[in-house]
Amino acid sequence: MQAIGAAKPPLGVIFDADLGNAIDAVLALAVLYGMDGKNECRVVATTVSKHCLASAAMAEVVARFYAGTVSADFGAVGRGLPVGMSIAGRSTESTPLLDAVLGRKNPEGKPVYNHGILQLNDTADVHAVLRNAYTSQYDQNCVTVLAGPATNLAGVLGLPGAKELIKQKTRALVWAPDRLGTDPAAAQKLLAEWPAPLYIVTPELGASLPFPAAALETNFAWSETHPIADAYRAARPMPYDAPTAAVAAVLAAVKLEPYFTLSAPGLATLSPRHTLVWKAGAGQHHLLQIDPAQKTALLETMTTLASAKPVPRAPRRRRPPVVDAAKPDPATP
Amino acid sequence: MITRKALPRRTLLRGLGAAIALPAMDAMAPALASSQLPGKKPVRMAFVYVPNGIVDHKLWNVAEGQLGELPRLLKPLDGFQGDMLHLGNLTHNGGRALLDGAGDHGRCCGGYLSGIQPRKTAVDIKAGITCDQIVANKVGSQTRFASLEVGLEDGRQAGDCDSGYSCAYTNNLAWRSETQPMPPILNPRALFERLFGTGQILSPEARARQGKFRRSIIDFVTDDTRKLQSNLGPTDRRKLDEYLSSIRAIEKQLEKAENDTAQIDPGIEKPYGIPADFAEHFKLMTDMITVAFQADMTRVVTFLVTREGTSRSYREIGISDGHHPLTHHLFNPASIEKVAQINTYHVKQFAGWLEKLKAAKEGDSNVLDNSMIVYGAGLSDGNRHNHEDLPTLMFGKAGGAFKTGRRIVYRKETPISNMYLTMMDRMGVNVEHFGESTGRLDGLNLS
Repeated sequence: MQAIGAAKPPLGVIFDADLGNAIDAVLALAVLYGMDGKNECRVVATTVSKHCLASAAMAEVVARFYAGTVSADFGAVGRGLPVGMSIAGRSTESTPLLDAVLGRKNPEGKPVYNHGILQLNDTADVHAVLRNAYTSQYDQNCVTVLAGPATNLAGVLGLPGAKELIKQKTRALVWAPDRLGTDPAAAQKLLAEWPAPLYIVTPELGASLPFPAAALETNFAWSETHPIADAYRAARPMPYDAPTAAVAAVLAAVKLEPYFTLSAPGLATLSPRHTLVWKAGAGQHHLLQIDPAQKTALLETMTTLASAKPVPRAPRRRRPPVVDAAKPDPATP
Repeated sequence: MITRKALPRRTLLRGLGAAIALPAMDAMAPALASSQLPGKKPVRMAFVYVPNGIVDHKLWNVAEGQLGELPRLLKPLDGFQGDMLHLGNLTHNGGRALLDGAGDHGRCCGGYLSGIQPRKTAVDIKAGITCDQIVANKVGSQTRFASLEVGLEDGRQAGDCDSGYSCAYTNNLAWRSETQPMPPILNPRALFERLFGTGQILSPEARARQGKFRRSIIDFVTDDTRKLQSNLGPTDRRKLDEYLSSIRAIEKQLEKAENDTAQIDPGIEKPYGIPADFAEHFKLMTDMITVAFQADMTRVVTFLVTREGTSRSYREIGISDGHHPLTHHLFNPASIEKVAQINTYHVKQFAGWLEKLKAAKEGDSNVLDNSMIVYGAGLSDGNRHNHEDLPTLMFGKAGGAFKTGRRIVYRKETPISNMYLTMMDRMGVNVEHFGESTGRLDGLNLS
């Protein structure tokens, strides 16, 4: 039931990625928070398919950063959304980009970027987070973005009533598939059972939109410490312009027009080599396409949004911090 | 050659208008198995629900791992650390608004044991079958009562009690079906008659005899008692004496409550038979539940301590403000202190019950060991009205299955339905999914 007369909020976005395996998904999350800060969407859940605390911690670092934790001017303390993390045992290792961000220390030897994820129970039950996020959205006012393997979303599809719920709540899933060999069964399940339209962002599209690394020295320079810039520099030897399939997925989820178009419907399946095979025809799947005339504007939008400054949010109501008496807040420097 | 026949587990002491079930006794065990009960000991489940959340996590939570010193709100439970599981981060998503606006009290209680969100309505109510009733449906045929529903505060069953949510949601814990709540028994006499009456309608003469002479129910089963005692060993005779004495003590408390002219609250007429004193009421009801567990009259109990969202005052401990208004304390230290006192007062009464359960021997263990008693609330912080990290304690070892004495903090958003699923497993009811479940709770079992 939906409350009568209540104003519909901006589009809710559920973001799931194997965060840390490539810079693309980190940039995508930054762009997402950039749009959230402009009230063009709301981030309603972030989940990671890497079974790795550092991956979940990275998601929280980015969330807190865009809520203003790096600057006292903004006075924010983070958004309080728990990060769901897969415990399926896939992609468990940390990565250089995660290590660079989470390991960066200030001159006093304390972490530069705050997060509250030190142990497993600082993360959330990923299937509950995803299902709960859907339950709280207005019908057709939600989009899911997936970057990487489909472990988490395939798991949610196994919950009773989840398919009906997703169909009711979400407009589409925008998927930048990558590293599908990590969990091919999940990819097959998602392709076969996802109950809403599925837009696929191919690696080729991502490669055609290289993120300009030079922007790190300009657009991101407003903050001496920037987790996205640090992650970018650590992900691969510089200089490089990263492909942006996941970023395109996030942008297409919120701003399909004017940047993108959709192919005629078809059906994607998983090949034995763990790549997607496309067949036009009947189906709920579409390939995301870019309007060549929009490419420059699109890259500029990506850069601007990813490097957006935090947006101060008025506190909803006075709340004292909830403290576990026996556990110091790990985020406190 | 040994020929002694075991006493049937469901033996009743019968008399005029009375039927008293027996506790587990050695004589019920096969010959020579003096300290062993016949077969597996029954495992019981009970849910004790307190309203309006708790006041402050700092006063409730302890460090993860082995339980040591307890925080202020749980101080009355000192000594029960070894029987306790202090569970963290359990969540009831259906208690949240999910686009339905205000009404956290209605939602949190109405869907607490079903793990769903009740329909926002004051008329055509719809919630979900609760886990206790699923278990009752499965194991209820093995006991005299499939389940018992008990409470301490009277409340309407119809009308709007919270922002459009029916009073059926705030005033009931157990639901037989999506549309059938099971109102709790509030009157101790009614519970007593249910447990120890035969279910027969007494003749006016018999009723008059009972009333006129105020005879104990024990007197009506004297013949059966005498016959039974002659066949019992000394240990069982002592156990039977203690058991019947505990029933007699309950009767005396009932009589006292019925004769008491004190008022619960100025301006509120005390219902006949309900003690004016909250603690006495709590004790009476839980004493009877203890007997019901001891005698295996039921294995499933829900206990709605007071209505969700209640504005009951606690003059017994010097608090004349309503509970619910106090929980919205605006960070006024005096109000916070009063809520803490109410929360502690509830815990204190509950601890008294645990003592009884622990004292009720059952072979070489006790009733508490063979139970899963959940003490919890449908709101976390009564001021914030949040539905994550619900205050949840579980007592008892579930018949030796659970490793108690620990605080376990689960991952955030872990559905409380996962706990119900785990408890249903222990009751022998295997269900794949329940409510919002995403799996079972891990880490509870010994192995």
